[in-house]
Amino acid sequence: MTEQLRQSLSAVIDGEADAFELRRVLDELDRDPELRAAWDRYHLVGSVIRGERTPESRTLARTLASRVPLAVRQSVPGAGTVAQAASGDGAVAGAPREAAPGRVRRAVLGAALAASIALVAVVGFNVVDSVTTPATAPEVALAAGNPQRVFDDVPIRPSPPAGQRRLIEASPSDLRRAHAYMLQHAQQQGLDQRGVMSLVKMATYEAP
Amino acid sequence: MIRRLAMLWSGLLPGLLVAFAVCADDDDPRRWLDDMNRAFSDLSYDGIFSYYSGEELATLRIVHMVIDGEQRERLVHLNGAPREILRHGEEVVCVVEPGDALLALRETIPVGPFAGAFVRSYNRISDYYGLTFFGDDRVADRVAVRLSIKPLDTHRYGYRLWLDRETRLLLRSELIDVDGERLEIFQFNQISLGDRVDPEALEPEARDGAQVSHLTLATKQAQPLEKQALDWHPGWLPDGFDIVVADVRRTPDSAQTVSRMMYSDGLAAFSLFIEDLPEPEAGGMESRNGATVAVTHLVRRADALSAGAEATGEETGGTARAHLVTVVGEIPMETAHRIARSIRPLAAD
Repeated sequence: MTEQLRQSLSAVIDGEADAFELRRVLDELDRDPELRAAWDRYHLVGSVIRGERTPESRTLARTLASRVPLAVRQSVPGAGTVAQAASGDGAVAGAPREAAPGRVRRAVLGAALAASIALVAVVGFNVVDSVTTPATAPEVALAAGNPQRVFDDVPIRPSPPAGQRRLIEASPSDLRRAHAYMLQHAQQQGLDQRGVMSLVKMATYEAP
Repeated sequence: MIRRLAMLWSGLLPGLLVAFAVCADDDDPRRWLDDMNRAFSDLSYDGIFSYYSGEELATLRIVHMVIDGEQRERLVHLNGAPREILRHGEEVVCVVEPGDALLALRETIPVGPFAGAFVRSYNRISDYYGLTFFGDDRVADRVAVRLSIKPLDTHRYGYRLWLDRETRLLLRSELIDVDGERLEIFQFNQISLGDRVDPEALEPEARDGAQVSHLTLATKQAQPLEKQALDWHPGWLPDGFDIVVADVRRTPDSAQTVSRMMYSDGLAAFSLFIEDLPEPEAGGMESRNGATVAVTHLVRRADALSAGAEATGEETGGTARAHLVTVVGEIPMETAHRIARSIRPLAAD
């Protein structure tokens, strides 16, 4: 399945495809097993989002919840835990951004982020802005042309109320990396003699 | 007392004169910030302070002196894991007990090049923050002048500072987020200044029979880190943030290298860490510790290049190597995400 075709498929799923794209995808569906599988997956995801309780959708929901990294904001500022994280612009699923241009919505709502959207629907909380995973990055880039511009067009959203957020634990190596970088940042500031504050962070460090 | 201070640290007399002088721009908050920094590094002090970072309330002792032109400092964690950080000129060592959580990260904390990388300047600070005095208060039994530092946009935090009226040493500080919530509080509970500080207090505590481990944080002999020709840069930065440090380090978990850049607006700072994808399952995440956030995004080089490549006709080679971008700093979470999202190869310009 080519990227072009994948992009067309996402447009079809979104109902944004033109007649030519629709025809092309329908023609290819019979010939391309990979495209066919993707088509099935996206519709399955759709059924998860709509809450249709088929055995497949429940399995998918469980699989996604265990596999798809999802960036969620920590509910309490200051807690030392790391929230694993996230793919995709879940804000679109959880709380549509009025200001997002159509091309953003298309890029995001398309095949690219189907998995994370489904996860949002499954576990029901807000996801922070557009962290791109390997699976989603190419589509976003292709569909939107310039990922940088797309994301810059999106206004920064104020934090949702604390209760709307939920944690998924990061892997030990993700945690380790985040903590090591926090300490390196503190170390640099401390060594630059920016007052007592920064080495204090090192002195008071606690393992997660 | 002023005379005695001057005698003790005659080399630092100009700085002290500035601190004590009643001059025309004494009302300039930027001057007070300069003096505050100078007080930290030039004065002798021995005090107990509390540090609250969102969840934990820590108590520490700080002893600081300048002896023979060299800064000596001892920072002692008074509750929880026994730790001391000792600074002797350009050597900084963290002394911990076996099993300390810091040891698990030992390999991940490279020995830093010491200081000098960044001279803080408050000249432009009023472009990004509103600075106002808001009266006197009393902290650690000393008269303090309160200074409010309010950001002019939502991309940085605000501060409330309590500066010692006599020496301009920072006695209390609060870090305030965009909603006005306090993220961190630092406050001296008790402090001795000047010749009341005993040099003996700089010596680490001898622990009975306990083995201790030393974590070197900075050393004079440290290999200079590889200077980097920057490969990556943020496509977007909040106004006023300039690069202050850039180098290449080892990654926390492997022998891979990571590009590191630090940016500051004079008060707030954040670091960027960019590395090849360390393991396939590494993903985006976010974390917060007090006012410090860490945000990780995945970026594919070919994607990041695509727009620029089209414009320049550059060949991307068809392979999209994944990179991990981590933004760490005392900045709002949304701002950190926006910076992380904007990272792209320099070639894209």
